[in-house]
Amino acid sequence: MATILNPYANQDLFWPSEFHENHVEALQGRGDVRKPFRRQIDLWWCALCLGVRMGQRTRLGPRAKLVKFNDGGILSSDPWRITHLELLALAEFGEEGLDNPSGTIQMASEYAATGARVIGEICMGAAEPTLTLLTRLADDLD
Amino acid sequence: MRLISAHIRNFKLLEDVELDFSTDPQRPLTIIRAENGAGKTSLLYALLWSFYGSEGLPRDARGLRLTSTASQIDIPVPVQVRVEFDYFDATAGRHTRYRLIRSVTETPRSDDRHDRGAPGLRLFRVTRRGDEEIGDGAQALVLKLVPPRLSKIFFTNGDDVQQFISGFASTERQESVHEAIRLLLGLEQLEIARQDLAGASRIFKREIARAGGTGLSKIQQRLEKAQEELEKLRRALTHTTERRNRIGEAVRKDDRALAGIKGVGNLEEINARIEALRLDIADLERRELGVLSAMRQVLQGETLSWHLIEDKLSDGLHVLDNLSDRNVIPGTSIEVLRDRLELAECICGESLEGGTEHHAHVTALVAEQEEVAPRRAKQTETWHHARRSHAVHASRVQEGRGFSELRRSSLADYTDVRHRLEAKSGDLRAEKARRGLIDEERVRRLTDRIGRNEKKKRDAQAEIGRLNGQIQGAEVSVSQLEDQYGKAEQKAKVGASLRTKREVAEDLMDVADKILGILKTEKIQVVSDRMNDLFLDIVGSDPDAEVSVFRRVFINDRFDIVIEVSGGRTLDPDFELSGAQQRALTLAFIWALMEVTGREAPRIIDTPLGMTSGGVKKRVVEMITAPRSKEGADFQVVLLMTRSEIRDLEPLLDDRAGVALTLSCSKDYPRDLVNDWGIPRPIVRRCECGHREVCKICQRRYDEQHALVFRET
Repeated sequence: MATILNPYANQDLFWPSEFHENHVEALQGRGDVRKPFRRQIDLWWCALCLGVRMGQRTRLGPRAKLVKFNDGGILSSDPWRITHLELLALAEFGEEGLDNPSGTIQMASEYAATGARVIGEICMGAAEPTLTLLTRLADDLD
Repeated sequence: MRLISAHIRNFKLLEDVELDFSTDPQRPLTIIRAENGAGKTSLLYALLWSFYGSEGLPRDARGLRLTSTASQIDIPVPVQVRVEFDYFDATAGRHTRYRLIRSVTETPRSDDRHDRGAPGLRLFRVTRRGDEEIGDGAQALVLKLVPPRLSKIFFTNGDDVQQFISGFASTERQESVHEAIRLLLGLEQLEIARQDLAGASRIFKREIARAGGTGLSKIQQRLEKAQEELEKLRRALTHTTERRNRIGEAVRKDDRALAGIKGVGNLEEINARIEALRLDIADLERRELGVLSAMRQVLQGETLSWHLIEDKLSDGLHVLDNLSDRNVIPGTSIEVLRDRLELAECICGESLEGGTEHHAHVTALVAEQEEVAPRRAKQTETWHHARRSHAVHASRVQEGRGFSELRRSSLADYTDVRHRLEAKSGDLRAEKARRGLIDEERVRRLTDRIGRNEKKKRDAQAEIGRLNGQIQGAEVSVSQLEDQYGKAEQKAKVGASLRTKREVAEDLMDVADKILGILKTEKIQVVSDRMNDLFLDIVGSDPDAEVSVFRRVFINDRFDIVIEVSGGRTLDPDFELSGAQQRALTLAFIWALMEVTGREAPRIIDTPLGMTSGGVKKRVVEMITAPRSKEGADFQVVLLMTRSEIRDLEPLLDDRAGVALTLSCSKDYPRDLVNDWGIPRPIVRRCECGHREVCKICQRRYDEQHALVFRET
């Protein structure tokens, strides 16, 4: 399969700092399968999907209220995410959607901020967050 | 007394639960279906609390808070239980309806403490003219209508039912049985009356003696003293005999425990089983982690992305398909134009020589294409990748490997692993408990205690011998003095009226003795026979069959329940009956007693069928829910049952239940409950589902095992 070029490699990925402080630690961890996500990028992607599904973008605050957790280079580890991101950009901005990687990441981050809040609420206090999230994700949406 | 309805507010997790009870004599059963932790015990306690306050709760529950542990600290919570009930006054020959409201305000504090305000009780007589409040005497009237000492029979749970005849020495069982009989047959009042008559007779004898002069008076005083001495010796004999029996019970119990330890099994085999179970559990725990890991894969995979945002991804793909349809992509036209310029001839045959108008036009087109080429190339690349991603997704869905299927199978795997883990953990606990039984230190302790108790028993036996000798002597003295007194009284000049009074008191005492005798013998015989019929029906034993195990159960003259088996042997209910048989025997005893005494009362049993199964389970429910006979008193049965207890009894319950409803608890979501109620704190809710139904509120993950019908709400 041909290598997918990553136009988002130089873009920074952020969490709203409030979410980062209160939830990220409980939701992701490499070795602990009781936490739903192995890496922050996995959490970010799930949050993005949830935000898109809900059709709600949350405006990100000023830079001071954001925490950078990685850059877009991490998307190359799952190249399908680059393709999906580009399809989202085309759906959102039309034919020129692929011309503006920073605008695409901005849009994706706003969707992810919405989804992150929901994931945080679902998993807060759950004895088995992985089980709870998987159950609730489908229950709430189907 | 029959319960009509109850409304419980803020009692434990019962935040706002209303219940109705069946009052139909032909369908006397109310089924309250609830799984473990869904409020069965809280409901039982709420009813007990409503009638008797905190004093009515089991001893170990009295100090506990009444409110939910999820209640906010320092915010007062009003707790209230309202019960409507009906009481048949046999003297007046009519039913009266009452409404009882017990309330208190409890304020949860930090560190699991709480403050409780002054409790309140209001009792109303419900009449056609409206409610009449009963003022000061409310609590006294409630205690009269629903005697607290009967609460052990009215309100109970399956384990307590079992412990009614097991778990302690036979002397205590006798007390338990005796107490129930005394209460329900009304022996207590009659015994008090008999004592009063004995007291009156003594007073008249003293008056006669005074009137008869010093000689008669002295004999009467000596007689009374001798009678007191005799009574004292008899009490001491009873006390010492009971003590000897208790010690004997303790010795037998320890002997059995020792014998049991020998029969527990080989320590090495148990250790091997424990080790195997540990390995199984470790393996299952690894599998649990594996299932959770698979769940993580689902949560981060491409299938989730397609599942959640397929519409949006398809919109993006549509944009690219549109470009393709318009031949904008793939962007190959620039190469063709360059080739034509080099050949100096257009596809249409026109010359593209330099300086021509056509050459200028095609050159301008090439420049324009060069500007958009990177975008077209990018769009083309994305189009190819997107189409591939979509094709892979479509084939996964077709092969049943889409998100929904992966989610369903991983949740099913998780449930399976958890069930197996719980079962294995239970087995491990049981094996460890068995190993605990062969603790060498325990063997030494038991042996020592048996030795000490046997010595105490020999001492008590010697004391009994001494007391019997003293009693014989005292009886002779009393008899001689009675003789002397009779002769002296004959000679004395005493008024006829006094003699008549004494004779009337003694005659009445005889009557009371005879009635007590009848109640204690004939009535108990009726109870005993009925208990025997009910018990043998339940355990499925035919007393005439050669191979039958149980021949007869009966209440002996010491109020003990005796179980006779083939060969004339008797069984110890504590050790030689199974849990199911113990429950069946106690229920047979209580039901027989209630039936014979005609006491109208609700019988509320929490988890009545634990340890029973198959035919025994069915016959227990058949017995305790049978509609009353024509001459029998009205009664109610309220059974708090789990789905497992209900299983296989559905047709019987269809027939017997006048009311059926379900309680569920929000904390069971998502592990057991299917639907989220959207309530962030643990509370219990009631729904209208009967024993064959489920709805959005009560639907559970393993309901397919119970063949329940979904009820739209």
